[in-house]
Amino acid sequence: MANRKSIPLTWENLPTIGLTIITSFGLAASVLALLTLVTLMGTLNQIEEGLIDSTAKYFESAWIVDTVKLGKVVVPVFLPGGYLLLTILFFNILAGTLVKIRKNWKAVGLYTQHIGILILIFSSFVTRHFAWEGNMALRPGMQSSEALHYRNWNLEILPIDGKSEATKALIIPHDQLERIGWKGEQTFSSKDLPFDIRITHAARNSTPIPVSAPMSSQSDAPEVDGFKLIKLPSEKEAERNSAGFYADFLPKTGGDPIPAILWAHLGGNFAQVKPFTFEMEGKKWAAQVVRERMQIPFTIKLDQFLFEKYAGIMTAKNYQSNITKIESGTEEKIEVKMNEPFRHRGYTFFQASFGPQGAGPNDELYTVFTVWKNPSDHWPLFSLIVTFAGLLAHLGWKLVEHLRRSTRLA
Amino acid sequence: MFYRPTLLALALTGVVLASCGRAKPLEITLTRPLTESERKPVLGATSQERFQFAMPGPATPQPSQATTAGPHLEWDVPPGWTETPHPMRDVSMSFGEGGECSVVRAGGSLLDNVNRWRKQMGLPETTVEDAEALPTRPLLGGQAYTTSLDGSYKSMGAEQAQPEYRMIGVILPVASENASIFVKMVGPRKLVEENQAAFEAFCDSLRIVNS
Repeated sequence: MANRKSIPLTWENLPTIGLTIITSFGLAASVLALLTLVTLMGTLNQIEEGLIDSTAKYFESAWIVDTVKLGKVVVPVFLPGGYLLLTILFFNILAGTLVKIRKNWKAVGLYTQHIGILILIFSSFVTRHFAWEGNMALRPGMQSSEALHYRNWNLEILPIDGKSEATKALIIPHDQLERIGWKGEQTFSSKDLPFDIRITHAARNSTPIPVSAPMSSQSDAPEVDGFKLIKLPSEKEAERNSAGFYADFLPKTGGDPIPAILWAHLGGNFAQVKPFTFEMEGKKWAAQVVRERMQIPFTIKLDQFLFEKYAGIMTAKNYQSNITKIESGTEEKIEVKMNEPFRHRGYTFFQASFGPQGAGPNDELYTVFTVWKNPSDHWPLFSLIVTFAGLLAHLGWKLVEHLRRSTRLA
Repeated sequence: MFYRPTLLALALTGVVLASCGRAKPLEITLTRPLTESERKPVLGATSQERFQFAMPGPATPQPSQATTAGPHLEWDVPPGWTETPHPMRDVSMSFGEGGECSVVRAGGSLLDNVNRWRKQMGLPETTVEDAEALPTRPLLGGQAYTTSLDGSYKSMGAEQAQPEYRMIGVILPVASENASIFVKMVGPRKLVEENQAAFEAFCDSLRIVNS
């Protein structure tokens, strides 16, 4: 058995030791084993916490700090998260490819395979940081150039003019609000506002409750107008969460703050938002919690929604939306079906559902598209093709070598 | 120089303590133009109107029969049943030892809600086809799906499931609200059997009244 070379641990040797570790098969095997464990645990955790929370906890995190119940025993878990493991794996494969694979044309297949896997890992990074998913609901004849995020709620301040109308909204984004938490506090300011906004008791899922209800005693949030905000556990289906905050509108010129409970209600696709309204500096203002919006650089108009069901039962057999894409003054007719999404300029429109729920034969139906924007939408497919080509080249070369050797021996 | 590390430590402590204080105000930098349909917001809504979807009814204790102005729900309390107002329910009543009945409004598909109930009863999930094939009964002028489930009942937040329970549920999808009305009776199986007729009478008595 060959002796393994050992490198003395000195300052001068640190780069060599680091390179040895980052390119080692042992590291790759350990990371892959941990990824398998994390994937299993994250998948099982979805039963308890749902897809979004489990993804955040197990696959988008650097570290996993959790407990697992084995029968009646609660076991603490501390593991590297999926994000950290994939980052290590990426650099392990990259360094291993550059350092360990021989630099000759026979290794082209091996290089290609590794590049394919690196593209796959990098595409998950791009999806994590740059993808956006929401929905667009349209009634026949309606058109829209914006989609609403499934889960993210923003706080918007609307300056109201003399005609009781508003033309723009100042936005406090969901990530800044979520960071505040129930016990935290954050003040927001703008030169366009005669007041600052102090937010406390921020909850991803919440409900206002009358103070007369016994449950209200569970909340330490301040009472406003006979109501208190109660923090609720996150829903398994994260799109059902209703964000809520306690806000104080603080006049910049001094004076008493105006308190408010600001809450997002899930009133359905076309529900009218009822903002909190107040006056300051002789002007009206409105504050509303609404879903994050994404502007789309073209317009979609629903011409017709077609729904076909199986005879005698309510199950949908087929449904499709006949739409018009309006862009730079030109119109294009498009059909979006259940398994045939419409793709354009990096945006994908899937026929997701329709409404209203429990509609009768004479009710007008509306369509709901899932709108997906992901710069790395096709990268996984591309990476699989590259990896497959690499495997084919490598195995082809091995076959040729084998046949040559066999011919020589014969 | 002996004192330098001490000064450095003090300076670092100062920086750490300063950073533990109240967060600095954040500047609002994002804006968006409102769409045509958003330019006339509903102004002057009261807290009660703004929170209507969360908490139907007034911010004062609910009377035994709702007397809110506008369309509201009314019902007859079956003999022997007691009203037990609950903040998250339109109607909440109890009967016998461990029997309860409620009316709530909420979103979610028929299948989601049937499966949520089945899970509470420790039963496996059903399919959309089976859910949509459930028998129906009249309720509030519409046709509502009905389901009867026997099993071990575990209410929300409960540690232990209670065996030999029965749940009878009625679901009326309301297209205009994109939500459903749920009427649910749950309790020990024998008690629920004895109160089945009272439950049917209660469902028949539910009505929406304009006042």
